[in-house]
Amino acid sequence: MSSLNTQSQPGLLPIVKSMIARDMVLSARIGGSGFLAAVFFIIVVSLVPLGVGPQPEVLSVIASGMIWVGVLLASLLSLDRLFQADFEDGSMELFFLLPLPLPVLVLAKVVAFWLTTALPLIAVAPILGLLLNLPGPSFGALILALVIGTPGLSLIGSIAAALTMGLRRGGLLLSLLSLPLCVPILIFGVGSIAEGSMWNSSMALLLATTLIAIVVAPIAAAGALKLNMT
Amino acid sequence: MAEFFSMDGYGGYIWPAYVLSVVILAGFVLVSLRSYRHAQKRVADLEANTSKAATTQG
Amino acid sequence: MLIHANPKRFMDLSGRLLPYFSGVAGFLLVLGLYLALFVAPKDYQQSETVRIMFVHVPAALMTTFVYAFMAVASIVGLAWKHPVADMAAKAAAPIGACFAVLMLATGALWGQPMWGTWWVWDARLTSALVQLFLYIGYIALWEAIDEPTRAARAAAILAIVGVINIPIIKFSVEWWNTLHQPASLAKLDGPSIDPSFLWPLLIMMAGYVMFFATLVLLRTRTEILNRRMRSLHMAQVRVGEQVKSYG
Repeated sequence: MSSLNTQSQPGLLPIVKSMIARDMVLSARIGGSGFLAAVFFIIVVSLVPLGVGPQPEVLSVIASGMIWVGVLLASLLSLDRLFQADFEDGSMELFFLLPLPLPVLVLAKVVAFWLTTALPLIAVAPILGLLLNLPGPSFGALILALVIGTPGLSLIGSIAAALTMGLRRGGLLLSLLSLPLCVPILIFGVGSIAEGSMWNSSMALLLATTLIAIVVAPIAAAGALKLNMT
Repeated sequence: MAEFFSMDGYGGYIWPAYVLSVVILAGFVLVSLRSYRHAQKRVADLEANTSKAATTQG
Repeated sequence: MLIHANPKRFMDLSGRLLPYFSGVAGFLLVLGLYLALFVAPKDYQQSETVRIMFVHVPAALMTTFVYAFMAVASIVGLAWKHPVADMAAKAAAPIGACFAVLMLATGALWGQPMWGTWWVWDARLTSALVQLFLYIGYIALWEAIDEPTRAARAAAILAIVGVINIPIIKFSVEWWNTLHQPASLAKLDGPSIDPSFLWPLLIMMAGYVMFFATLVLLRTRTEILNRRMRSLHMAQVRVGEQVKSYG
């Protein structure tokens, strides 16, 4: 296995590129899981004023938190399909034959997931900010925090998705496993919007958390995938 | 004695905390012991069975 | 061969250790309860409520300690394919969840007289709550996978990811706490300087640790017996099939 990997090391990037392109084409053909996630996100956040009342002052206080919780839930719901779809139709077995280290495969899948699912969420977030009366200066921080934080969410979710691949009721378990792990990203994400400047200490901590996830998640998810394929 | 139980009027918080701790921990021990005994018995039964099966087969 | 030798050796060793462990645990817990309820003085600030500390702080300590134990056992299980380590990690999880529940419950009972409400999103209570969720997820993952060795490896990956995350969770929750409540609340913590509080607390902590050690041994033994049961069962089914095919 490993000798195979080192032999074809120069060809790594094209494979990764075509993996990402494949996933994006697939998600577009299936009818845009990213679109559905964004709609779900809008609906969840629109329910908040119905729950807590329409007072603008109240809404502006909880806006950033509700947007983050909405992003978290929307991406979790879509994470269910991250590996499961490939597992069910057998493509996962073919991926294992690729001269591609598994952690790189996970990274490629996560990048594609982020582009197709998280990016639409980030795109609608400012509109939801308007609906929830988010203070004007916070919009920039909101976008930046989401851009920095959502890769972390996707990466943490990829561990849970790999662990629950092929299990009965995997979707529910996936949420149960990944939600507690996502707490720091939620806290730093909301905190960085509350601090009122574009670049602040919460934002730095958010970035640090995502960077740790980049190191840990592909290895952990790769281990879990290997386990569930044998 | 009554003074000891009232705990300066905080007995309503202190005693539940202690009782809860003792009940949960002791209950956990009981549950663990019971499943241990159960497993012990099942293994003993199965082992007796397999040796019987082996002798009848041989 | 190694795989079979290990659980057997563990059964011998743990069978001999168990009476001592349970004896020490029982002694420490009874002594600790006596000191906590009868000997320790009341605090000049918190009055008698400080006594809740003697059951709250050890439970808080164990909530984290047990997860660390699970992570170490998981690493041993993954790296050396050590079946007893896998089973010990599995055996520890419900105990940790129990301690987390106790930590939260006694925290609420302490919070009511100290803060005037049952629950405050205090940093330590909040991170214990998140840790309880981690325990529940870990147990649920074990339950979801039928095949024990596969379940053990999946759970081990989760435990290791969890233990990397716990310091980050703790830090982030504290960070969040300082952002939202600028140190207006007293912490649920004892006046740890005074030896009259320190000794009962230390003995209770030791009692909790020994309690955990005893239960982990017992539950690991149960787990080994359960696996033996499983393999005996499968062997029996196989024998049954052979008999049928001969007939």
